[in-house]
Amino acid sequence: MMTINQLYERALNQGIEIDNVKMRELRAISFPEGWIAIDMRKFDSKRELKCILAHEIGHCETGSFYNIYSPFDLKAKCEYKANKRAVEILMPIDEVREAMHNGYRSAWALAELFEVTQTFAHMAMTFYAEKLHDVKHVVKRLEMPRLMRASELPRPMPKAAGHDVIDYPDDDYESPF
Amino acid sequence: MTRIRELREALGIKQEELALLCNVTQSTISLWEIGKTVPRKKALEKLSERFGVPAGYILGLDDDSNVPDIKDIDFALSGEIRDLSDDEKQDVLDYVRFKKAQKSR
Repeated sequence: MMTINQLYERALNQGIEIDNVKMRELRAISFPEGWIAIDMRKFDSKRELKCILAHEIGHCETGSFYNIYSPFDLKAKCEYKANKRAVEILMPIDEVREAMHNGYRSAWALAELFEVTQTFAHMAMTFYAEKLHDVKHVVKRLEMPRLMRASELPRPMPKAAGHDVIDYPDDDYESPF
Repeated sequence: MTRIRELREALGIKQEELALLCNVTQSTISLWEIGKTVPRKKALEKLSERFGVPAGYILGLDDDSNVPDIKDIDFALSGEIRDLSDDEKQDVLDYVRFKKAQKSR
């Protein structure tokens, strides 16, 4: 599992400079010169910061940049490359495969193990879906759930006298352990 | 107008810290920031060292001719694909200006 300090070290070794700066609106931005500006005040958690930092390093390592006039598809391509590299940095495929074999079979469990956000773990699964043939049956279950039809919604549980009942539907729940 | 306030805020430094560093009062820092007075040579050297930019840049003497227009700057956002707002464009320009000044030391 890669830590924020190790990310900084990785960047430093490649001559990438990371500055914590106060910005009006931006949270993070990177430049082809190997500069990354990050406003740490705008992050709610270390995991979020870690994922964004890996993403920006991904931009610098893959040289994926654009300007304000670049077409949408070029911007999308650059973001895709940076995301893919960020996944390779924080959740290397061999480590993900091993984790899944060891029972970490949900996005949140993988997110806990690799200390990333759940969104990031989902993204990693999307990138690796084709490659993880041996655990494909598991990958299938990690897809984002579709919206349920009204007829599929769980029926409300009867209220116990004097107590509010909080119902956690557990039909699809599978323990990662 | 000096760039002391801009640099101080970018680095998240309080006026008190600069006052202590330059051995002046906090109100002197305020006067520097609004351009009423300018720092003397010794204080300027300390500020230059603290901010990591040349003294000329702090005093606003270096013009922005070495900073390209926003349309010439390549960059990448943190995963979002959208147009930049005016404030975000200013963020980009401020940072590029800061880095260029830092490199030209």
